[in-house]
Amino acid sequence: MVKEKHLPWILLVPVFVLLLAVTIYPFVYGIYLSLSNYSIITGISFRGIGNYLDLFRDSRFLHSLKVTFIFVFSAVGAEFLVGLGIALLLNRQFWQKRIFVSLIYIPMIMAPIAVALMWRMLYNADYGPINYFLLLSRLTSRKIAWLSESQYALLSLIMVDVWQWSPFIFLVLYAGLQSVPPELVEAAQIDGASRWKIFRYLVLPFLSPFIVLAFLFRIMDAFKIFDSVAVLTKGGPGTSTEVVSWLSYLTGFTYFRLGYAAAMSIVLFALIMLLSQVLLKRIKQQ
Amino acid sequence: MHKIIRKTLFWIALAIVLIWSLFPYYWMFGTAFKEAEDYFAFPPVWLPSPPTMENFRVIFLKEVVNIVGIGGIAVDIIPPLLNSVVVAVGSTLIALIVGSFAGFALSRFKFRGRENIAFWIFSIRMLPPIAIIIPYFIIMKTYGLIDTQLGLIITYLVFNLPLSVWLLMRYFEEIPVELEDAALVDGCSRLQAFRMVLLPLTLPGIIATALFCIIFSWNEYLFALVLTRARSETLPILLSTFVAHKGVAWGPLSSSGLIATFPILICAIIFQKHLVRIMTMGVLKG
Repeated sequence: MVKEKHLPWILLVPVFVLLLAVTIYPFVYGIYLSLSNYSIITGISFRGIGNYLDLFRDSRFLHSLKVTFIFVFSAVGAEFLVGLGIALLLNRQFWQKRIFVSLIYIPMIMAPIAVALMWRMLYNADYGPINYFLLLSRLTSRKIAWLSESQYALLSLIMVDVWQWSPFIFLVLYAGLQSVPPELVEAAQIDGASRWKIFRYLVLPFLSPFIVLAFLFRIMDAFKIFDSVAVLTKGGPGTSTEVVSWLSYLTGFTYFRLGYAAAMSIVLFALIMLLSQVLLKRIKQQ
Repeated sequence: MHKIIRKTLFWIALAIVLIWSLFPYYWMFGTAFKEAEDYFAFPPVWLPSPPTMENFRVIFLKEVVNIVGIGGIAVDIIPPLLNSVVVAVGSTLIALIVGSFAGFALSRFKFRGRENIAFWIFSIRMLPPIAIIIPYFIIMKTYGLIDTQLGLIITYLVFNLPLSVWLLMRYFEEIPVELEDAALVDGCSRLQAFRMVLLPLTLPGIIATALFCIIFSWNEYLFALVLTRARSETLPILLSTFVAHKGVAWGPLSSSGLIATFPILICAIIFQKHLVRIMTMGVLKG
């Protein structure tokens, strides 16, 4: 008979063993790789922090950091606006609301690869419906090659992300809006407060922890962008959409510099950790 | 009068949101049933008439299709489909079994470090896949697990395991502990009470967790790209092979895309309540 005191630890053993094997070990190994030279022929040789020193002199890597930051903050910012808009729109009673909610959240659960490929059809310069509508409405006078013109390629990736992930912000903020006590809103209406004032001074304070959390989760995930780059632009044209994940993948599996690629991915991880710690601190303050 | 205008405006706004969220899917759906000349048409063809099953026949019967700019390709969707099912179900089952023990321990026992362990397990989700993909590639190569279903099943535990521990813990916490106490008084052991009282009561939560793990594994791309070759490739990999340097095989791509997303779409609509809850649970109770 096992002592009650020991039972939880025994139950936790399998999860510890598995997590040790599938996450901790590869992660520590990744850190070790990032401090090494690895080549398929000569194997692994320890190098120290050399890879990291090289990284911060590597203009291609610094450029990929910049592209990643632009992508993350524009995409998440736009997702916030769209998500908030939808949440405010649906924050009332209407016919068959449940069905509409489930139609709106569908993009989130689709395979990012399938999503990117759908958009690839929409973006097609010669036959795609986006150019068709733009020409029809005379917003442009020529067919735009969305994915191969450097001023549009990153924007195209951002659009795909906004399409897929605005519903997430919508769901979180929608839950937040439900937490606003309706009596308070009614009381404010009776007192003659304007809609904007009610939103600014009554709803927003209730919403702000939800907003910070939605941002936290979206920023964490947006930094990981890889799939849509892989099927839409492959980092191009030139290096205009080369995000860190893609550059790290190329460095590792096309140029076979695995140690250097590992160092890139560790830097990305450190950035995500740092940003999420800052945001988590803000949440705790609230 | 004023009220009617506001109502009309609301439904117009909702229609715009719906068109925005559904148009890309509608486009893929339509293309899957189009003849080749219809997806190379400008202005685009809005409804395939008459709808053709050709694009489905091709991918299931492994026929060679000639694509402008690509040449002849033969695609067989059945092996990737089976691989996707085996990998998703296998990884989810392991995650659920191990995760339910851990979730039970974390939700029902008070012991030192409990909160820290729960948070640590949860924070694994911050890890970007690119940070462990390079070590994974080397480790899997060492153990001969490249291009095997088992390799991917193990890999997907990286995300499924923390997720299922965390979600199951939350679901268990929602069931009043008194119900198990009653079983203990009747002479059950703690594990018997867990199996016969707690598990049946949390069945909807367990199913929702399973579904979430399955969706994640089904949609995953980066790990499958690096760790599989022709023998154990999954559906997302198959989808990306339709995009060649010079062109895209729109028709077969759309029919395969439909097969890869349709099951998930149906689940999403049927289990809307549970999935929406899970997707915001990570945020709202984190």
